[in-house]
Amino acid sequence: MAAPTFLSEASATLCLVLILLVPVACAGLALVNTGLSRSRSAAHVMMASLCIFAVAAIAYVVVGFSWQGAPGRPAHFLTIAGKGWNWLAAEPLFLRGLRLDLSPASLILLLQMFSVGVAAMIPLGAGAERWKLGASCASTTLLAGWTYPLFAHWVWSEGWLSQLGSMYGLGRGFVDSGGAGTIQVMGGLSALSIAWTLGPRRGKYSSDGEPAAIPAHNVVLVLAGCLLAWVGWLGLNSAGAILFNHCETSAVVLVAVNTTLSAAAAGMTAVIVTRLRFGRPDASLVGNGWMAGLVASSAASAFLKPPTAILAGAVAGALVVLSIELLEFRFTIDDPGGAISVHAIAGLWGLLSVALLSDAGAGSSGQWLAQLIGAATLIGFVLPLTHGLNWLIDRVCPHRVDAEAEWQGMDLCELGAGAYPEFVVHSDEFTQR
Amino acid sequence: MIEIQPFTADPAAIRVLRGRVFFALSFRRQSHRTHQMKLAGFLLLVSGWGIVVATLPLLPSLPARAAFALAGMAVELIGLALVGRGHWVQKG
Repeated sequence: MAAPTFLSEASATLCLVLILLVPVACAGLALVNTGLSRSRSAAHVMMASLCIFAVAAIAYVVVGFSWQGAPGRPAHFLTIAGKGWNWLAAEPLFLRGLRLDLSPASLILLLQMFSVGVAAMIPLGAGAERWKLGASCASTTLLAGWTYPLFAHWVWSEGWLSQLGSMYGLGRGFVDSGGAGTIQVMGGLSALSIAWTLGPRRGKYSSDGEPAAIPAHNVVLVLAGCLLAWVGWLGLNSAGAILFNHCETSAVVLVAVNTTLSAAAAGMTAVIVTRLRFGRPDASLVGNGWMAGLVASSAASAFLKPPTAILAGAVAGALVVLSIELLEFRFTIDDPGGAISVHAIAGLWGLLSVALLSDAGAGSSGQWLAQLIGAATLIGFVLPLTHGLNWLIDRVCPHRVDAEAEWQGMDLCELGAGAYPEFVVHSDEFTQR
Repeated sequence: MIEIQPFTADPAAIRVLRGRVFFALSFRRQSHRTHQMKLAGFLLLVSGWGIVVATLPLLPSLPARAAFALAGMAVELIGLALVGRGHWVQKG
């Protein structure tokens, strides 16, 4: 669906202010990932977050925007069965020809520059404590320079996914105003690829596959990160609703209410579920639940009513707690930050909730099929593409550090200094290896 | 004076060596199987997506499109399960 070709100056200014909140979500995500890792790698995770965001922003500006483009701008078409499928933008590199003012195209560029940073930081949650900085930057370059812009073009720049409604009568086409699919599921599936590529942390699983608990080193950072992420998500969802769903600026109030309610319901559901399962609420799982609520709200926050936003959040909160357990215990996937469950699983639920719970799906029988096609594209195209690219990188520049470096911690191994030099923090330093 | 002793094989050492060779071969076989499983899984993922997308130009009505799209999604999920199983077996 097309972005507005014209925004009043007041609307554009409001949109700009909302977009400038999005980096706060990046800060929140960085704190969550850092808090959920062990202290021996804390500085590395935070620094990797900074580097990954920097690489993503540069790669996106240099080459990514030329593939993604903006609505109403040049694009490449494939003719299939008499219909033109818009599959790739045809913008020049380095933003040549794009005026950076309050036009919708430049606001979209700014929003996307921050959004791709969010998407690129998500896999760090799964790869923490064993992912080399250089390899993570290489993976980010490909994600931000190719994979993300390609899918984002299909969803937000009049690509074929957004045109499913007009071309094939499937509701409004694939709807994803705040990036539940484009940002969160993409980041979550990239996290899955990284978890598969790296394998689990040493000592995580015994020889018979039983997982050992490796607790977060600082839950305060995790929960503070969740609060910051909430502020950033308010901006992300609101700006997305204005730019990608033609919502009036007054709709920002509904979007903010729905985003907050979804996160709140998800967080409280995680409290209840962990209390029932473990006898006490688990702080890190509650933080993950809160994040899952934010993620799930991203697709449909402009279209939900407040009670259905609560329901969507509650489902996301329950899903993420169960999913984390399933992935760790059943499928032996080591995901320190819960990135796969929080972003991929909750994001997929958010995409489906557009059709099941929102006004966008209520009047149209084809909306759910459009959402399903978008979800299928993410799982069946984006995941193999991402994993293939990560596999190629692994051939040239192995992703994983060696065993000795991992035992020492990424801080000492790659940065030469620990995050907490005044404290002896390795409980396993005095046990025989 | 250098005394040359005839070589006598140590039966215990031979058993250990045989065991290691067998383990290396079976590990290589298992590793090959897991690679094949993962490759098959990724091919199913892409094929499932192809089925889903092909419903759009090929099928005219919504129920037909929906049925085939769900079938394509099921193929994707089988592929995902194969890939996950491939990684799981590797750890086992």
